Amino acid sequence: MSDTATIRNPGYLKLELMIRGVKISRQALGCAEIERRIKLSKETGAALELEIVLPENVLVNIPVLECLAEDRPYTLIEEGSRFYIVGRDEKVEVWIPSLPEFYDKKTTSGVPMVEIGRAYAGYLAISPTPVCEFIKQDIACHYCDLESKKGRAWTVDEVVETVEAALDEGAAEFVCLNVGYTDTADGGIALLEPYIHAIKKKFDVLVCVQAQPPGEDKWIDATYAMGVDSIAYNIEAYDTKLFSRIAPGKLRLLGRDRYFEALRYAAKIFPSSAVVTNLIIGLESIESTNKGISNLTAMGVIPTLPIYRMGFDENMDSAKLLSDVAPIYVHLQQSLKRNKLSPTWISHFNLALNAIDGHFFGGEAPLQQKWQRVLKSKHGGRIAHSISNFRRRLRVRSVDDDSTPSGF
Amino acid sequence: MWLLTDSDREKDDPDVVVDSRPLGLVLLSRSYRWFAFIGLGLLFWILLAWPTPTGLTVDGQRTLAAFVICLILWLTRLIPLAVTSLLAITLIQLLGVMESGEAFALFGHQAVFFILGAFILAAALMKTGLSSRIALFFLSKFGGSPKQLLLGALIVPAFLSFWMPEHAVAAMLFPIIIEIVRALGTKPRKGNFGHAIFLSLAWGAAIGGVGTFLGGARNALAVGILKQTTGQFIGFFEWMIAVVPMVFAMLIIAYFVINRFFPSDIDSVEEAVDVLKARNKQMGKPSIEERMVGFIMLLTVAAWVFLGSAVELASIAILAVVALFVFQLVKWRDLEGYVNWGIILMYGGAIALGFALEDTGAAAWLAQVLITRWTTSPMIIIIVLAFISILLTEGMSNAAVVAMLVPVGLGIADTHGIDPRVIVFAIAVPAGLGFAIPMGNPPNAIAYSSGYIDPKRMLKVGLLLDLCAWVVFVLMAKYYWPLINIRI
Ligand code: SF4
Repeated sequence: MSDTATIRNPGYLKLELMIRGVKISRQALGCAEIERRIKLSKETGAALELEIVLPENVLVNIPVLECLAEDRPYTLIEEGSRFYIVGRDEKVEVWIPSLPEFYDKKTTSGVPMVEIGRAYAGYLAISPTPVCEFIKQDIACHYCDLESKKGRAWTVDEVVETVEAALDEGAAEFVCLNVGYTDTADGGIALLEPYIHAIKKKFDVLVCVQAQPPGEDKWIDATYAMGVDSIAYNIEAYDTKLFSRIAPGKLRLLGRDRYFEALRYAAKIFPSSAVVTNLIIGLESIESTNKGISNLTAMGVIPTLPIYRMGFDENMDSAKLLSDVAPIYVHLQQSLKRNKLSPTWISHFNLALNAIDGHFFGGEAPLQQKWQRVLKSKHGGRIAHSISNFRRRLRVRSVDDDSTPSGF
Repeated sequence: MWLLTDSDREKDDPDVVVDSRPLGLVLLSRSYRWFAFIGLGLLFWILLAWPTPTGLTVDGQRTLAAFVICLILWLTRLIPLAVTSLLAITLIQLLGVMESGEAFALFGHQAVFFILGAFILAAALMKTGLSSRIALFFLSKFGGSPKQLLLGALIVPAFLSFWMPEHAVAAMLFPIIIEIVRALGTKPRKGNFGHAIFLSLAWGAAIGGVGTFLGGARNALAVGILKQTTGQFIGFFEWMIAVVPMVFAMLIIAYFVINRFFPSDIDSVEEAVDVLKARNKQMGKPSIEERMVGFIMLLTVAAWVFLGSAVELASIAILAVVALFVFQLVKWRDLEGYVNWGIILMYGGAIALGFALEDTGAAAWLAQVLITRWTTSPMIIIIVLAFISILLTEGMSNAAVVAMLVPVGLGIADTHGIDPRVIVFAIAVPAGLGFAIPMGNPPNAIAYSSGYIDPKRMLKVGLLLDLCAWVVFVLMAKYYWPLINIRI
């Protein structure tokens, strides 16, 4: 595929930018929005991302500090207060959303909100507590970004204040909470319970959780019951050997099979298409990834496909790279369709390429695109939240509805 | 910060489940309650408005209407058992069958206070650790072989259920048995031994529970209804003399059945013995509190046996409870978690309803319509009642079976000149012997929660044991009871 064709196709361009990054031109660096991101990133160590909206509303995020490097094939330029991505001989207009205002705010207890929550065009990501047994036992996942963060857990009030600020300015439509693994039957989800309760009580907002599978399935029921609308247990790699290499803690303390068991069970408990797992592209063979996609989608699980950027050969021919990787997204889109799954939830995860983007590589433009737009509207979000609550009310019941054992 | 704090540690088990059936079915099952309540309301109205059948008084008809509604609620558990009992007591006074003072006064029946005392005594046994010590002591005597260990797992809960509620015994032994099977490396639902040992626990506790008033409080409830309606009484010792031989027979049968259907698939139980020894060691020497509670318990049982005819059993139980507090062996707060207040409420309501059925002649009328119209042979009546009781207890609460059948049975006794005590035995004893279904008995439910029991295998073998229990009961009634002066 020619450079021109690449830059004109938002899906390809997103892929290219995710893999190869983008350089910010000198005059674009002077733009207040970008300057603010860089300043905040440096000051807080918060590793903010440069969010770029490509044509057809395709979102891509790239760590902003990486964009300061010189050796990138694409450049972000500013011309008369408009932004463009420039390739070798072609340019395309893009948009830079303004940085959320709550990043400059502090909680009542004095913590900068940017340290607590990060908004990614649609969702607010928060890791309320840095507890993780894998890290404690020195078997952290290889790409763990919590490992370097030492600090206290945020209080429920601090988290609620941050969520409130983000929702008030429309910086996010739903909240995504992350938690590490704890060596308890609940696997860590119980640590999130007070936060989830507080958020659900105070706001009409959907909550997604990224956690590790609990030891017992009943905690998956409990996860749904406590108000979680979408759950992600990330297996990262479908290949068994690779899984053990990149996630030694997951392998040793839980085992790969437990991830599949838990995902399969969660798919029965959570609404359709609300169970998600990461499958990193670029670490294993395409056949293996495709097999993973087929099996996971058959279980009712939606894979998100982030790209392992470090794994790519910098000098690799762009056309080859795209021709290798692009079919995976098409396969994902087809697998979802075959299994009647709708990628509405993952569409928010713009750090990864997703099935909705798949149509740029030759798949069909899915209906979900429209549905996604509806969900992103204020009323759409409320309706989604009400439907989600109604489903929970119907499906969740207490085990001791009658507290008297039968045989007395 | 990576270290977990205490509050991060093991959380309580979640108490919710998600119904993952198709949404339409869930909707239906959620809304059926309202249809059921409307249906119940209509049925109640029809039963009241129906012309009074010959042989039944108006009060009898009203009591019967209340009884039918409570029966359906007890069976379906649309509302908790205890709340149904409260409804029963309210209905009979609202319908004018009893004065409100009279109806509510039945909550103060001595059987209710006996059960309260028994619960508190059992709580003290558990709180001080004495019951665990006794269990570990006896269990460790059965460590010679897998078969011996199974025998221990059957006999120890049975013995303890003579003195404590059977569900408390099963709950107390449950973690010990879990440790044993883990030490032996048996996996849930795989192999026979794990299966067999949990069934031994459940069935041992259930069988032992029929032996005294303490194991299954329903026994005391049945005797309470007997006393309230006929003035007759069965003493603590008298009950044991009549029922304990059956307990022994059932233990022997259960042992053979378990070994026959779940032949041991392990060779040694050394690891289990190590676990028991380690647990024993952990317990250290008996504390003063344990010794004192043990002493009070022994005195109480002696008083029930020897003074039972002169002093109310409930009074002895309450005095024992007072002694626990005088010697500061337990605190009230400790007890609150152990005592099942709901069941106490339930018993109060059941006694009141039973009394109303008897008093208004509704029980006799019902008995006539349901059973004695078809047969007048006392032996057949006893056989049928025992059968119905075992059958019902597999599907509904033991106490509800007693509350439902005893008044009807006493009505039959009245019209056919059968010793009412026999009726009480014929209903209360089989009501504790549900072996086939996890929810048929509290010990079954507790053992089943281990994940080691396959419900299909339990059903198959349990039904066989149900049948054995029925046959043994009938043989006892026919050949043993006449020897101790209980004649049908
Ligand atoms: S689960 Fe893995 S990625 Fe998450 S905090 Fe633990 S080590 Fe890090």
